[in-house]
Amino acid sequence: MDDGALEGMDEIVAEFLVESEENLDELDQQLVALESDPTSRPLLAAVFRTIHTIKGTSGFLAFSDLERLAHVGETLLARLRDGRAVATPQTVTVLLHMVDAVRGLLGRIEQTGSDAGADLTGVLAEITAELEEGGAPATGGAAEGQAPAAAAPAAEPAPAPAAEPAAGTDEVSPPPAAQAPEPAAADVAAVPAPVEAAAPAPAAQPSGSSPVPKPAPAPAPAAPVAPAAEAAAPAAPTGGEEPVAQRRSGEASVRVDVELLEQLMSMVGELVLTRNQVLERAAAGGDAEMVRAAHRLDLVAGELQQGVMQTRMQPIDHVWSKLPRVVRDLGSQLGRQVRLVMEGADTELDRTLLEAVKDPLTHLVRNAVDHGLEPPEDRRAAGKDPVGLVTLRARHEGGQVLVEVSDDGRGMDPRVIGARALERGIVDEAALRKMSTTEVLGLVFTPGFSTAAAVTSVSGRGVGMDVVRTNIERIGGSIELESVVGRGSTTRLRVPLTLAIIPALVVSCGGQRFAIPQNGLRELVGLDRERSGGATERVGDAEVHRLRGHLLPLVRLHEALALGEPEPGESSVVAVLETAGRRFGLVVDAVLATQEIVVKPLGGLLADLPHYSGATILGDGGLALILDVQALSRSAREQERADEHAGENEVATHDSTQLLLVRVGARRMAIPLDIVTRLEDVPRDRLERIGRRWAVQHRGEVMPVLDLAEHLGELTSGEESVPLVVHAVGGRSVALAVDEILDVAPAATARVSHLGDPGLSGSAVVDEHIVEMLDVRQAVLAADATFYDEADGHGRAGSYVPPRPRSPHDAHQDVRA
Amino acid sequence: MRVLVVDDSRVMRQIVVRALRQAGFGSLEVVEAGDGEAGITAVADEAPELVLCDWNMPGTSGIEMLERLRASGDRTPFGFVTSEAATEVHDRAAAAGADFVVTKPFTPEVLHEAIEAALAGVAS
Repeated sequence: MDDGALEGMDEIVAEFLVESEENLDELDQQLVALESDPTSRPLLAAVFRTIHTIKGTSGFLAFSDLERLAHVGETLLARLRDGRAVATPQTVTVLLHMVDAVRGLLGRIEQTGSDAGADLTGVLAEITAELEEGGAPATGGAAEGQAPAAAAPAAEPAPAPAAEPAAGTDEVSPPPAAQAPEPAAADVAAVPAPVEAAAPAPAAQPSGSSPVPKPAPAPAPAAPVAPAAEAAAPAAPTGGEEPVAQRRSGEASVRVDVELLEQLMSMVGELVLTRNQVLERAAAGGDAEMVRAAHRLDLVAGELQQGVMQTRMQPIDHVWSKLPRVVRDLGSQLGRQVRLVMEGADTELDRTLLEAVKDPLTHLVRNAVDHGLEPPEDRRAAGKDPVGLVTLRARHEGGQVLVEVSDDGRGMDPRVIGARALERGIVDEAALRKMSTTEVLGLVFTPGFSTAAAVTSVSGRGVGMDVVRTNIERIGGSIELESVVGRGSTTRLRVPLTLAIIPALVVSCGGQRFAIPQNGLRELVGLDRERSGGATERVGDAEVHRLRGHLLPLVRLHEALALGEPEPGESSVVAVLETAGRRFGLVVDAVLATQEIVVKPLGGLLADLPHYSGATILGDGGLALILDVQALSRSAREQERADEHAGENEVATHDSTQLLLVRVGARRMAIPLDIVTRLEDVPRDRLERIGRRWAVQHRGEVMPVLDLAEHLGELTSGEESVPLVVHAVGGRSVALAVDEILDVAPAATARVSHLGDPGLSGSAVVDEHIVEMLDVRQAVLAADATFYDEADGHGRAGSYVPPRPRSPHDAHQDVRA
Repeated sequence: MRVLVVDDSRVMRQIVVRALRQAGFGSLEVVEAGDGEAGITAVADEAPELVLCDWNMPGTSGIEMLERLRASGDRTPFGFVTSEAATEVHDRAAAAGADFVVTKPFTPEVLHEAIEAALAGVAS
């Protein structure tokens, strides 16, 4: 058909792409379901209909390749639907490939406006082979198609109201595939049926094709398929139980541009802010009439907000619908038999959140199939159903959406996880011993846990569980893990209903107000200036707060945002925040209120500022920036790295020497904490080779860096970010590059070794284990041979001096002197 | 003219409506329905002058819809717009009281002629 036949095609093509995409998602699910229920008539009818629709529409839009592909697929599907063949797993695979090819063509149309040029020979051959295999020969579409055609009238001489000649579609078709690039018969314009009432001459045929309304039925008396074809007829009507049926009714719903919804939401946001202001003024003014009006406004604005938020809600099924296909493909690739069960697919959440949970959920489901479920023979041996069960559940719970991914697989053994964490240097044995089972399981979320050893071709896509957690926390959600060995695992995600309006804590600092999203807030602790000497202390360059016997790294908001010095003598508040499983304390001047805030994105120049995730307008009309807890946590990390484990361990007693424990290659080493000026993390690419040495630019100066791994003849694990232990004396600094900062621990005993181990000065006992002591002086000299020439004037050498009773504060003072 | 377009595909409904406009039915009032069930309700509620209906739909199919309409005494002109070109589809449509069957893909001209004929049949 010529392009001018219908005007305004662009819009229709766009709509076609959207609709087809939706239908294809359903198709994936339906085909996977078909595999376990290959004769389900409703399923077959639905699958057939989807492809049929795509075929019909692409005929209008002159997408001939797409039409041809859909046509061949339809032929295969018609055969299944009519009971002339039964879908085998191979059939389903072929059909899924067809769906993929259709997707490919749709993508091509989206990008180039045309479906021409794609290579379809492979998939067409696959389908044709499947057609030939199916018993009924696929040669010469006519013969194949007309067998039931002849049969149907025979089976149905009079119009029987119940039955439907389901076999119909085959006849429309040109012979399958390759030979007929432009299906001529389908181009026949109109074939008005010879109906008794209106019997005008058949309409003119623009394409010149035969106007004969009744193609002569091919004499094919041997039609054993007839009963089957007839039996298939009720399929279409019963197909009504599917969700497809209720979804579209021209009158009950309208389609609205997402853009418009976003605008509405943002205006409702403004309204909520204005309401907050009006409420505050009304309450202050004491005008009873005004107060009543304000309360009505409050009510209406609240309901309007609910209503608009509702329009942005979409069922989680939008994301889930892709998963059966993922599970199916993965299962067959890994030789797992999997049954996927979904509960609560109609649970709704904000569409932006839906988008955000898509990848994490897919990752978790992949993990469940790949790592969770055992191979069928193992399951049988364990007395389990060889078919593994993966269950997705979603429901609303306490203003949040709870999404669970469970499997009934082998479960996660805390001992194995603990051993792996030890091996990777994520924890040490002492810390591990103190951990609860849940805490041990939680180690899988630690960056660096799921690496090489866990990588399979399937799940190991470089995205570990730590990334899953980061992504979930970024949208204000949380994640937890539960597992019973031999019984299976459950990962539980909690995400907020919406991101647009969130509960927050409003704090003040340096005369400005800031909002902290409440989802990361754990507790508030008053910091008494009078006693602050006892309540905060320093580890290296970093400040920590001793909270119930644990060290909590502190970030002073004053310093992080460069707000200037706080007023001396004023008390301050520590907001204990948690992100990525890591706690830190944010020191602010005062806590003002908790409030529902409307999140406004920061635009333009402000968007690049670290530490802020947005802005909001408070009840009095003033502005507050929303703090990005993750970013602040990172800056806490940059300031000091001795936090994590120091925070988890008991506070050291002051009368023993503090050691910084680091990992270098596979070795655990100790560095006396008193030579540590500060800890830093730098990206590996900032390290530069200068001659035979390394250096890093730091505050405008070049600081020599010694790669301890190289120095000690170890292999570095080569992470992207390199932790540096900086030692500075008298204005000169050197940095020792390690693979990981592990812990700060008190040394029970330490002694100088006289064994002359290269690079070592001796050993120390930490938590009943012996660690090697780094010969700091030697290391420093290796980095900068002249370091002590001037620095020695300060009387401190790097060589480790056997312990003497001394407070770390003194040591600190020494270094800074 | 008030036309009820019944099709489970939004795109196809859009194509039909567009073809109607191009066929010269200028003052169109279009009511849409996504399946036979909604179509039957729409016929009752909106009293269209013409129904253009798909054959193959989830739930209540086009032919079922027609049969139920006719059984209830409704005589609204009814045409199928379908890619089912098989003879028995046409026969069955005729038997159930359909005024015409237009096979996809169609041109506005074809649609126009079919509709004109059906409406003329009603008028005479």
